[in-house]
Amino acid sequence: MAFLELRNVEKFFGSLRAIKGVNLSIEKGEFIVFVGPSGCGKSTLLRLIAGLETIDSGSLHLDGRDITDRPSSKRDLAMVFQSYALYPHMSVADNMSFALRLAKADPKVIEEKVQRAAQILNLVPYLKRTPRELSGGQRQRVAIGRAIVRSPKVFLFDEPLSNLDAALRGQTRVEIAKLHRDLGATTIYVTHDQVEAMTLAHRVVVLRDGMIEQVGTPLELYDRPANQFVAQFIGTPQMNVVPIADLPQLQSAVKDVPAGGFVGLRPESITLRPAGSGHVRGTVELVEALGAETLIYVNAGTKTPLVARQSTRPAVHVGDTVGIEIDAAAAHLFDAQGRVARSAAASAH
Amino acid sequence: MSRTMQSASAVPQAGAARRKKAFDGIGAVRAVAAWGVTLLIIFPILFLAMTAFKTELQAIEVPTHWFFTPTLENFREVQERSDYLLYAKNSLITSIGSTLLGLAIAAPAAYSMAFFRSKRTRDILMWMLSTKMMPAVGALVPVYALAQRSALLDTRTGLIIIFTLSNLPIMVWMLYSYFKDIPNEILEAARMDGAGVWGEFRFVLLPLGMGGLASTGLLCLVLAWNEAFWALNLTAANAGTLAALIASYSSPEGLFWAKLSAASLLAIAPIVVFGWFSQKQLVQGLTFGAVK
Amino acid sequence: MQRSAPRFLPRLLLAPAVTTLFLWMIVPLVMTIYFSLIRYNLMQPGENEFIGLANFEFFLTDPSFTTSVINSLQLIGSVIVITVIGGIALALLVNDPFPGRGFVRMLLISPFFVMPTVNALMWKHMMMNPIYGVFAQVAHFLGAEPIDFMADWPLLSIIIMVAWQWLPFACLIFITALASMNREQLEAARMDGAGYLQQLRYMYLPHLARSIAVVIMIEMIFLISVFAEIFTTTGGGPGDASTNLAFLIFKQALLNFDAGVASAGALLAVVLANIVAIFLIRMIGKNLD
Repeated sequence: MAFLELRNVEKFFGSLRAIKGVNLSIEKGEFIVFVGPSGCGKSTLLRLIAGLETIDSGSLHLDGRDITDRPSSKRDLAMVFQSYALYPHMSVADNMSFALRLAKADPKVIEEKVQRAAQILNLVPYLKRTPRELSGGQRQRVAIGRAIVRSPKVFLFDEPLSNLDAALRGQTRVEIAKLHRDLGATTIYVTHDQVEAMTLAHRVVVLRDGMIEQVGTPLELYDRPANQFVAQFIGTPQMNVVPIADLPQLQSAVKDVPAGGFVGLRPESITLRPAGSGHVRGTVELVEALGAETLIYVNAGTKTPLVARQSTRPAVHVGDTVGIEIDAAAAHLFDAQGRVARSAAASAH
Repeated sequence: MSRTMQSASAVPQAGAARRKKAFDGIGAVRAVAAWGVTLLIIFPILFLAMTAFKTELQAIEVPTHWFFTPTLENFREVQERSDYLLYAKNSLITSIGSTLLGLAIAAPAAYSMAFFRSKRTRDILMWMLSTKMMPAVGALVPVYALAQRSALLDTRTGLIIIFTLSNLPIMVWMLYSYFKDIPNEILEAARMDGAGVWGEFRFVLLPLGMGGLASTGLLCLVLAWNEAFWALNLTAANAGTLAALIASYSSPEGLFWAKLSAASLLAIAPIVVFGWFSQKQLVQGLTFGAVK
Repeated sequence: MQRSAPRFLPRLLLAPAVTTLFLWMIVPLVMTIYFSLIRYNLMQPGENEFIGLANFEFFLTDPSFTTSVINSLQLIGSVIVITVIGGIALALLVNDPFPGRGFVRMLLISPFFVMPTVNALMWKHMMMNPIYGVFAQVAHFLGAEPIDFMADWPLLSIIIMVAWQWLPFACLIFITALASMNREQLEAARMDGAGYLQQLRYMYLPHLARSIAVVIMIEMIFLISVFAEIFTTTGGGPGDASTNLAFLIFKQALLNFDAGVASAGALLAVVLANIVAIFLIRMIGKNLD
């Protein structure tokens, strides 16, 4: 049995079926990321694991024991909340030591653990301050520190970076990764940001409408998405997914597209050629020069423009007519229901 | 704007020639007007306070003496009257008693509604508020009859019960809004940290809700202390509160006016001061949150 | 919520408050209805036969009844007008900063916290006494005859006392409402060329509309029960010149000891208050998250 296991977990809010029969196995020491659009149920699932919501049917097992009916206080899990949820009336040190004090641990041991956590997180000069006197980033570290001190079986993170500004977010992301390397603790991390998912996770769980769409390593999800939803969710800019009916010209390059199906092409597998060559013809709508790469939006008569990604700086301008060449081996084919029929070849992307 | 305020002259300039001067003028007029109106409004209280320090003869002199040597004689005499002390004690006991009893009943209810919200929560709150809106006189006869039959007429206990019932809706309402302001996530964090229901209450809710409890208690203390309708109707010589005592001096001979002023001042001073500090709660509580 | 935290805990916590208030609501109401339908004199308990609507008839045909209703309406109406207009004016005056504003606001609220009986006597003896009262002195100063407020203008005296007490309340509510006014909107209006009166009409008053409604409704509810001031000063008189509905009921109950008639009157007052309360509750309900 895996370290943390969810079996057929269901959750209803009134008549709304929020979590629909989720099955998941997590090994000890893994860093799992729940990712998905708003309302997909990732936070709900995390809260079910935490015990902050009750599981309506199915079961939850941790380290061999069934904890489905256990209250949060007895699950030995630690959670870092999106809003940090620090105790405003306690100092940083008291915040971090609260759980241990409740468990009536030896004060000396408590002191030691708090000190160690504070050192890891650079919080030592702030131990006597109250949350009000801290910046957002510092508060976040206290929230993490509060979790670390307890050495729980599993760490739960609920969108911890979403309240930080962009620069701090990148920095903290790196720190969290490092922390996991050093502590090796089992972690479940919820985010809507796929960059966090791709960079932090051992495995990613993509959720939609209360169901798991796909579980896999970040690159597995990128290279072999199981359906159109995952294909377009992972990867920025979004994969170009076009109904084959809209661009029949592609059939000369891409064979055996299922009837009524779709062709998926990542921006990097689309190259621009001079007008007249390539598989499809189109007009440049927008050029986004990002420095290291350029994104070119081309209107080829499809519902949304096709996005091409080039690492050179092509001399195209808005309004130019261009030819679009696709790398057929890198195409993902989806059937009419969105399920993958064939993924890109291993050598292509 | 404050810089120009400080440099404003005391006499506002009419027909402002330069914009800056006109600005100063309006600011000064406003300050003078505001202070003037305020002092005019609280003038009766000030006059009362002044009279309390006069001798009886000075008190009824016409025209009023504005300059006199203040004396504490009235206060001393008032405090020596046994009925004053009794009535003051009654006021104290009934207001503190009803506040504590009220909090004991209201706090759990407010906690339950704030953190275990159900479909009925809103309706229950509205219903509680509606009980406050019934005029007291509507319950006069039955309450009097009941009090008579259960020998609670002219007792402090009877008053405490009535005061508690009168203020309960406001207490529940105010505590509910204070408790709601405590983010639920902090309680969840406590739960994750291993706190049971009691632990949540003791380590998080109580410390964070203490301010709300104090404010609510303060406001209800004020309301109970000032309560006049039931105090006048349900009490006589034993359990009368200060409100009743003052009322009994409805037609004193002029000789007692300075002492009456002193007694009145003692009766209202603590509450007026309390009131200064509970302004915000007042608006919230008495308008049932309809005005933010 | 936890599966382990029983469903009945929240209900248990609510129980004392709900039961107490329920009893407080039902018991007097039922008793009042009962009393209003029987003959019940507090001095002669035991002779309680059912007399149908006779009590209501008696109360409504009491010559003082019409007077008391008119007085009540005058009292409530005047106080509302004075406090709303005065309150808005005051609130606007102290809305913009000036030195000592915090202190002024603190002082302004004072009259509301004065005990009603002290309030009454303060005005009766200190301000309105025709010999040594402040108003009398001002009259003398101006060379006019002092007015005997209590004897000649009893209802007006009560109105003055009550309005004085409630003005700070209204003012405080308007101050709070003004504080939530959108500054940027005002600035935009100013840039569009709006003068002060126009700002008043198009920006301040509409924003205050809601709190004005709240003030009016709350005052209506509480002013029906004005009692202590009348009790302490005029005793409803001379005659019934300053008797309002609440005092009339009181007179029937505790001066005439006719609990039956008083109950009939009380039901009337409750019905009136209910009508206003329904509107107020609906308005609050909208505001309740």
